[in-house]
Amino acid sequence: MRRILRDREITDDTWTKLAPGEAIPATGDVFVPLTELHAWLAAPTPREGRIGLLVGTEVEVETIVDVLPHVVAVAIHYKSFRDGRGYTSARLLRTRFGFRGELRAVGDVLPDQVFYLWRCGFNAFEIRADKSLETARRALDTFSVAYQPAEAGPAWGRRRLLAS
Amino acid sequence: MYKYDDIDERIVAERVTQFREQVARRLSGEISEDEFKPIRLQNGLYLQLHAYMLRVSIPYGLMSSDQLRMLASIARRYDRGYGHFSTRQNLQYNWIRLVDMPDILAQLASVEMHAIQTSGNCIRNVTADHLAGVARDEIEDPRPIAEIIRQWATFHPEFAFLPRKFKIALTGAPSNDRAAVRVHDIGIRIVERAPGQRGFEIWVGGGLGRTPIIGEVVRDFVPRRDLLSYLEAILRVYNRWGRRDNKFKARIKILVQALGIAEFRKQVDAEWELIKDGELVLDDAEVERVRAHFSPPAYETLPSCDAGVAGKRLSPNRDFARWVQTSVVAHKIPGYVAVLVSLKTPGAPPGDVTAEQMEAVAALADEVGFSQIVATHTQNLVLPDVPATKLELVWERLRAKGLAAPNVGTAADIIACPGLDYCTLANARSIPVAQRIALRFDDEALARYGDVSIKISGCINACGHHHVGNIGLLGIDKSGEEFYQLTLGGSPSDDVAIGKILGPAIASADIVDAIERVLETYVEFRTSDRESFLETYRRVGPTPFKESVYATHPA
Repeated sequence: MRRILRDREITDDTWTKLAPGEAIPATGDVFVPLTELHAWLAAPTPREGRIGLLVGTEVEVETIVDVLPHVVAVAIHYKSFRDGRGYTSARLLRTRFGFRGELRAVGDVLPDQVFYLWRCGFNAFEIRADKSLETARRALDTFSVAYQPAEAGPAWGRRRLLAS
Repeated sequence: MYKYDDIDERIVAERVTQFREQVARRLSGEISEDEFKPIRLQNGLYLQLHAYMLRVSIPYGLMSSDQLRMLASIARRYDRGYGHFSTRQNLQYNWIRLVDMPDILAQLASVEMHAIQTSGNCIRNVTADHLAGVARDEIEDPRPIAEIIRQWATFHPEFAFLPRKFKIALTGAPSNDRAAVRVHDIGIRIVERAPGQRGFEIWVGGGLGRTPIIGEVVRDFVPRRDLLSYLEAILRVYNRWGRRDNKFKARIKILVQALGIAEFRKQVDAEWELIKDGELVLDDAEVERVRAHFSPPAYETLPSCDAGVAGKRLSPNRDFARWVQTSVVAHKIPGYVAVLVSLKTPGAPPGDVTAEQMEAVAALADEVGFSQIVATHTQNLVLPDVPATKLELVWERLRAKGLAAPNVGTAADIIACPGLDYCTLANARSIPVAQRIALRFDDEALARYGDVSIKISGCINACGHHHVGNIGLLGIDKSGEEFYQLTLGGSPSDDVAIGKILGPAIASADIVDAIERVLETYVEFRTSDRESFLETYRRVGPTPFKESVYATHPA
């Protein structure tokens, strides 16, 4: 079974991902692309298991707001770890659109990007198979204080000072 | 100057620990070079032609004498005994070994320095007017705000993988922009809308490189409380919509051009509206906390020195008089001046400085100043607080170390990129051309030509800022031969302009002659020696220059 980093713990993962055009299976936790999700929401069939949304980093988050109430998780797929758009998408999903479910980074996700991803609101990470999950977990504790507000991680040091 | 508190210390120390561990994983092969590249870049480490180059961050150019001594010590111990001041007020070492990097960063951290975000597709070192805090013409010292922006930008989790690099510059001088804010991704001018009502005029989308573009005003007044949220809104729009398919079209200037400034402004405003009253509201107490670090040093009460300095410009000691003419700048405190220290020793690479020279400047800053030194974006240094009565002493001390060339602001004060001698991108050499130009003109000639800027880039990426040189040189490769395209009329200041190409590119062997012809044509056509090169060029246009350069020098 796949192991992922979720909420700071290394844990087993039950989720699968639906390829475009595939039918949603009757059972199991599954991440579904937007087109397939829209189709299923238009005519939902009874099934066992949870549904998540699978999008790429190029997604315009405003276009998925209407489906957020129907999913318990959103996976953002990184074709390249260098694509910075997912960081903004995550922050908007958390703060602007109030998404409280699992926000998962998948694809080309490396231990050295996990800290910033987490700060931006991702709470689950499918680390690329050839990389160390343990290194990724340790990376969450890289910094104990931050210079700006964000969605998670160390406190904004200046705000703490000002509040005290 | 800004002094670290426990938060700053922890962040920099934790960065050193992080990078030490990352280097170990790179050396063990756990991280590939491709994966390591953005990591090392955001720690200031470039792979150049021969070795690693390390770029140390000098926020807004300001250093203490202890910091400068540390830079000298690192140059001796880990490099070849010298460093190179860059066009963004940073210091570069050209011969660094990867295995030494964690120790170098730890030593920098011991004097409150780092190399964070001096490279890579992130928000780079924030630059500011090199006369900030001492200039007579500024309405407010921009450095406290620059420091606040530095902190906000440091390890900003959302903006570490932007489409491309991102540079911010500030000035507090309303009519004499020495920070080139109009050719930055974001330029910030401190402005006063009404008495006591200060805020920021925000320029966006300026830049040089392959596509030189003069920035535009995206908002004419942002109140202080809203500065960080407004910057965050700009960065967010850029991060979402900036092009990622072509690195040469990825800077924010291309997005601003594609959308048009009105649409870009609309998008920024829409984003800003949603975040402006959020957590990023800039608290007065935080501004005051940072500003206290920049309170004026303990100046003595001295009589005005303006007449005295004017007298020194006419000193019978001609060498000293010339140096005073080019190197001494008026100061807002009576009796004090700012001294520009030339790092353009004729025959040496522009901006290069030996460990011994760094230590000498540090000692001088301790002796006659308040232990502060500023790096300029024109690759020189400033001693910001010198009592005018000490000018002879300062000149002697600098001259003894080869740092008193009377050429700041002249045709020998050349900005040059590393060029083909160091850089993998370059088409032609820059530094040797700069050296040949500087050696061509003696002090008499430099005095005759007056204020003129020459800037040289070894390729179209324009790191030598040739587009905004009064005289610009762009190196190109013509079937293996080095040629230089000549542009005239550029300026990075309030009268910002992109230089115009004069004519066909000129062979390396003829380029110094061509520049001399350009300068002699200026002397011939100027109305008086009070009309600068740029003023004359703008008045008479390119024709006489073209005729003189190409009449005897067909390309």
